[in-house]
Amino acid sequence: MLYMWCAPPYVPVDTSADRRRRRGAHPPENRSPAMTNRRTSSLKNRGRTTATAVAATAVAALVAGCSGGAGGGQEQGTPNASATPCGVADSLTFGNGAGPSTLDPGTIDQSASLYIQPAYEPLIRRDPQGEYVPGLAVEWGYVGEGNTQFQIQLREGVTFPDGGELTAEGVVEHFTYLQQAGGSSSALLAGTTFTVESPLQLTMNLAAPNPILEELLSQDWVIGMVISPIALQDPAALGTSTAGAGQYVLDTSRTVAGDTYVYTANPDYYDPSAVHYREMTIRVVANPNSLLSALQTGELDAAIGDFTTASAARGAGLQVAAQPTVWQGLGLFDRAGSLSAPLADQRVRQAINFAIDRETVTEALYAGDGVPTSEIALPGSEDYNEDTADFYAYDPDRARELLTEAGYPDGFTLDVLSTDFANIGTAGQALAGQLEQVGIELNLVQEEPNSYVTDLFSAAYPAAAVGLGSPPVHISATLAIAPTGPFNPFRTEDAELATLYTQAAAAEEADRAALNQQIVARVQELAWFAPVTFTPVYYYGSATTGGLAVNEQNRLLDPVNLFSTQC
Amino acid sequence: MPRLLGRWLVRSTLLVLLVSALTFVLVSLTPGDPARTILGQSATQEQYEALRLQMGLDAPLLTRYGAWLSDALHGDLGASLFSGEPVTGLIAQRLGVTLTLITGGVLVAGLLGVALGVISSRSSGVLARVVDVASLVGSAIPPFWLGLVLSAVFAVGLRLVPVVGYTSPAVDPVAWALSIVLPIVTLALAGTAIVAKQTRDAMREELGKDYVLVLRSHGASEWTVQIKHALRNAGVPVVTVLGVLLIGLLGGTVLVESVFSLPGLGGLAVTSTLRHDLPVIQGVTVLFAVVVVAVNLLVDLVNAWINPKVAA
Repeated sequence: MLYMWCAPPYVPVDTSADRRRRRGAHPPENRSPAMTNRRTSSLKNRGRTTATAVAATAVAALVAGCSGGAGGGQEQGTPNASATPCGVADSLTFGNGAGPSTLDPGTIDQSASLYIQPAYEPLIRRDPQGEYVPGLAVEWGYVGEGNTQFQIQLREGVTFPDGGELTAEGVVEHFTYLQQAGGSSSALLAGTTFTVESPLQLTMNLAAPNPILEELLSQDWVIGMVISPIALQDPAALGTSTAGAGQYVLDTSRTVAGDTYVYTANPDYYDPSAVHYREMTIRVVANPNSLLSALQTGELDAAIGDFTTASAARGAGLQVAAQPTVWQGLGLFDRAGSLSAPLADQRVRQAINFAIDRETVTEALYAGDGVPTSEIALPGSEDYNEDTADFYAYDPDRARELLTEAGYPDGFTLDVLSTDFANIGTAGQALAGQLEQVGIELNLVQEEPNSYVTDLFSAAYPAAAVGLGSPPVHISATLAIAPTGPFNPFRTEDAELATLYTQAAAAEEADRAALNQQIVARVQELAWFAPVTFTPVYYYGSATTGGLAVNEQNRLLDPVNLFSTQC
Repeated sequence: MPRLLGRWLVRSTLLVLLVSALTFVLVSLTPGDPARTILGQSATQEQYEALRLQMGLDAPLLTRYGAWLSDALHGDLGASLFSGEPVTGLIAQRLGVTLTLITGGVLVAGLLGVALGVISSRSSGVLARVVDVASLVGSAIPPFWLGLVLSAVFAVGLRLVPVVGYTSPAVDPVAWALSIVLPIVTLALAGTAIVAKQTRDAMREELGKDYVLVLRSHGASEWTVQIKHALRNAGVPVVTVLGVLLIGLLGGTVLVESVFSLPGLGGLAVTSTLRHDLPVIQGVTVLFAVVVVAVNLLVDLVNAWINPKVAA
């Protein structure tokens, strides 16, 4: 299975003490003064900001399994947003197009975290309103300046289904296991050391500034989903069972790997009011049409949909919710011109951007569900730069001028890696038609997803048709802008970007958004990419399934927040 | 018969070995890497190389194949590179579904096809033409499309059967039958048409032979002539077609399992291939190879029973 990042929403929120009290959490008594002060300061800043965007950084091939939606505040259909839970219902069956390769949090693909979310309680929980509220941690925050130390105060009295207890020592063991397991999470924790402050308090000492730990420790990422210390004594079993302190426990006797995952309610979950079903099932239904049919007949209650069936789902009277998430377009990777000399000229890369009629392409490919963009940040997110939204307004004449100035008045031919997965190939063909108008001929080389990823990462092509998510800029910069990032295969460097990245990573929250916007604008100016449209992730639900709403504040659907409205 | 079995044993052993070696080499040569898949994009080269070392992927191909073969001969097909589950367990979990589909498909295609073939062999009119057209259309319809249509009509429209999923017969026999009927019909349709045409043609050939005239002149009943003699003699090509059909259904199950979301070996093979989960791919491929040689033996045995000259 190919790999993808389906990152969570970046939603700084006002997590007030009142809200925590309402949810039954109590301030820890042994919280450090430094942590408290920093937390208070942080909350003031957060009050000014409400939303940002989700992140999903994906090679196109990987979009299908994404459990997240995000976007520019666009919502389609009539999600059951106003519905209220009916108490504890019997069962919920959720459908998804792809199964996980493993259930081990140490090695699971982040895009498949849907399958462990029911069973693993995160340290910090993003609630359906998109706010970060206590999970296994009741208090958290950066200590001091520079975003290099993060302190966590744990909930008291939490036990795992296997009898393990939640302790600071155990959480450190959990983080250490993830660092060593070799999965995608290990990179997020690389170089981090830990200090146990007290039985229920620990400090993460980061190797480099990281301003988005609150988000990374939520259920949308894997590193915050704490594994029982008892289970860590035999990690081999983690691939086929669960060992978290979440609402549910995997019933291995009724689970068929790659097909059906059955979870039963965890009687020891610390907040029984959050458990909406006695049993939850996640079914893998690979065929989008079959998935839609199963929703129509009631065999599924909710599912992650697909753009090919969205219209039919609406026609069938299902709830359909969508948030644009993944940007499609071109990655103009060979910025030194080693494989394609024209790409070394910034004017040529800009010409490509000017030559694309984003509105037309978006409408043709995704009707009303796509959002045209020339930025890598989601419209509506705090990283989005309003000032440069029209930087590449469609202007083929300007494109021709730039090509002439760069010495390519008759255009040139560009080899572009592409794949049929997740509509990437179709999008590439649409762009080929656009660029042909200014003399640039795209030679699209279609490959199957595995080869596509391999060739993309190994810099085998000067450019590629891509579908990349839009995580917080700190992550997208690490993956696609930094010289070490896998989506920067030719290792391009830019001094201004490097400075901005360093500043933003260490910045206080109040200053970070502005710096991130500068990063977005700089990437746009350099034309390292040619983003065209944000494509949505769809969620379908039956009439009686509530909690389906996704919006700017809550861009990723969490299956454990689904509830029945059939009283 | 002992000679037949001896030849089969030697041939099949060599074939399975060859298939396992080819699979190992081909999967290793295809682009993609399980270590990269597990690590994701953000891993460093050092992490990548360390995991390859840990997974044993750095060893020479021949060494790795030798180790796999040695374990396989001891009944250990290894474990999934991702979940750590034993390959034998993964196969056992899904084998029943695929076997049900294939045997069901062949049984339906065989029984219906032979019946239609026999009946139409007696007719040179409408029924014969219907069999001709049906076999042409039936073999041309893609199974996944047929599955979607059948599902739309019988599952979504009439609500007679479930759209997706599989229920074990041990849990609920009725639910099992309902969950498996459409996939089997989907798989069997093309085969039914082919078997019907083959049966009709073979029956006509037999019915035109002299011994049939002799039987009839001696007052043998039409049942005796057609079923006991003509059909038995026409059985060799029909059985051969059924064998080929069964092998073909191994591939057909991949699409049908996808359409009806059934946890069979086809889906396991596809996902394992996408992930480069070599032990699982090896296990499934070798199993398929064993099934193919077993089916070939079965066809030979049945043909030898029908016509002892075959075994000579």
